[in-house]
Amino acid sequence: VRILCPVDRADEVDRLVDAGAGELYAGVVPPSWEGEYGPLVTPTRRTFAAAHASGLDEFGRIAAAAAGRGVPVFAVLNVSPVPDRMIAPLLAHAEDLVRAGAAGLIVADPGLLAALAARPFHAPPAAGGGEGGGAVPPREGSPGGPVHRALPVERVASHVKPYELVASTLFSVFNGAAAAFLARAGATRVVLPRELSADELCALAGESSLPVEAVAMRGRCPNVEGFCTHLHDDPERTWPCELRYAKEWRGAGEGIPPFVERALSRDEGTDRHFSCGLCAVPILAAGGVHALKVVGRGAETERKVEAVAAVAAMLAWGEGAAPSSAECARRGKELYRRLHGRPCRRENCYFPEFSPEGEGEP
Amino acid sequence: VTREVVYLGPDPPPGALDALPEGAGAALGSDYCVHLLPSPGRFSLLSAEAAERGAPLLLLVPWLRDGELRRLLPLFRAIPPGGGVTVSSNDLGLLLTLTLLLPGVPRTLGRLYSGQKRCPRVAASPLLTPAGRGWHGEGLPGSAASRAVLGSVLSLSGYHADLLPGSDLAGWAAALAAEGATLYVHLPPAVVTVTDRCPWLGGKSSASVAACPRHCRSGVVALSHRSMGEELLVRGKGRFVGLPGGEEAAAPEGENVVLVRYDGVP
Repeated sequence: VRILCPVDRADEVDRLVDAGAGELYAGVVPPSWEGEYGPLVTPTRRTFAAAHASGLDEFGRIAAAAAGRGVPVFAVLNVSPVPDRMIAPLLAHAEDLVRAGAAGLIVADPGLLAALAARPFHAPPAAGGGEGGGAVPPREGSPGGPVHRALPVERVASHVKPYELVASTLFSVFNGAAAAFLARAGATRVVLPRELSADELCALAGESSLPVEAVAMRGRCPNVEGFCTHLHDDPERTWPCELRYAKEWRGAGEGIPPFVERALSRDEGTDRHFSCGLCAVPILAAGGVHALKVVGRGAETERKVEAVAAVAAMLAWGEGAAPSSAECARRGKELYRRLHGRPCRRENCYFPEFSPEGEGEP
Repeated sequence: VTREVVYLGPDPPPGALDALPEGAGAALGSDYCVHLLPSPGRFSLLSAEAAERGAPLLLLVPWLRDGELRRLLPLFRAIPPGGGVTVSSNDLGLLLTLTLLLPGVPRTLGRLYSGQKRCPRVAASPLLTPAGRGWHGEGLPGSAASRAVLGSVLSLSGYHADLLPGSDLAGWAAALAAEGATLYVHLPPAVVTVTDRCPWLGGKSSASVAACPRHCRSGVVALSHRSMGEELLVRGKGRFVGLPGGEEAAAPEGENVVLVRYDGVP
């Protein structure tokens, strides 16, 4: 199992890899897209500049630095929907990213996924100092041409791709058949939703023909990411799922049922920086999950390093020991307390099944 | 001729179809919760009643875990042949499963997958450019590229979308008509977001209980915040918005358009 970590600048690479990151991912906003939609609608679903590499050259430097450490870098292209007229510009951007050293592309739109699966690009040959990356060579002409023709499934799936096509968590793959659909559509790997339990994640890892990723640290949201349509436009980065709302009951009875109000209020206390799945890490590793993902593009380097190191510590502790769920829970909570200086809380927990009090309230 | 379907609740009792307007069909089930689906027995009775009246049924289905999908197979097997019942699935795995196991069941991509962004902040945000605001009305039903791959693998007979002012629903309907597919347009309220941990279960995952008493049917919680521009309405695992202006958006017309109408928050 690998730890997959966000990276925004080349100078972060060594620290993240030293902490235990085995794969990295980053986004770049191409001028063609920003010129079309402005700064708030990006092909990477992040609405602030710090969450992106500053440009293609910086992405190339990230990829080169990572290649020097033997670590692949994935490029984020997880916007959906992609209007038909924007597919060609995104294919061109994807080609640039692969030439710059991207080992794979993380996508969320069915049309873009199929178009990418049908157009394998050629990654740069291995050059001195690494497996790829570095200065971006010029692209040979425009991809052009019709890219969204209906392709027979067999043809889409049979292409040999020199890069991975990772189906984003935005595809909401809650079951094995959904992963099978994405494999038919051209995906070579899939990120599973944050809502699944450790057992469910392991079952899917065992059954799916695709390698699966699970979110292990940071970034929890009360909402199902793939189905959430909230606009994240606050410059202070307080998102709609974190606001403290005034609440009014409209229904039978005198007011909001107390257990409903408590649950709603608890969700409003979610803080994505404190969210955690440490308890499940050894179980997920043993269960065949391919990569454990740390969330947090745009976060400070120190926070990324802390998160990777915590996941790495849980992995190292569990490796070869086959710890029980109870032992994992004790160790995970202890590590969390050391990391944050406070006990973990249910609203920030990815895997409430590891909490001795159980999840939720009656 | 624009057809109409009226949502009658998760699990309408016998006789519920009497309330339908002349010529209308009925929708049931849920886009957002596995515990708001009819039992196979109740569904069989209802579909027989609907067939007698010549009323089409639209079965809304949410996202499903593996165990839930397996548990629901009897419900899908209860769908009578003949095309009178269409499944609106918010789960890609269910669509593939139906394609392989029950290919005769008409299946459509549910509105959670429409790609439209219904957050009320979209209308209120001063930071969006006009084109950026317009992007939030784009959707998979309007994308030939997405329809090509979804259609080739899943053999869809239609797509669902919300009635939003920023969406080119008439254009989508025309494109779908050329492919012999139907556009289902859901009138407000629109789904803004969904959760997996239901407040009415005290914040537990809906997957953690075998059955649910459906206390969420007793009312909704209205959430308001000055930055949001419009209140959100919470019921069960769904958060909705009434979309002021949504009702003024022109619903497209055409033989391949079906309007889905709600009496309040579904």
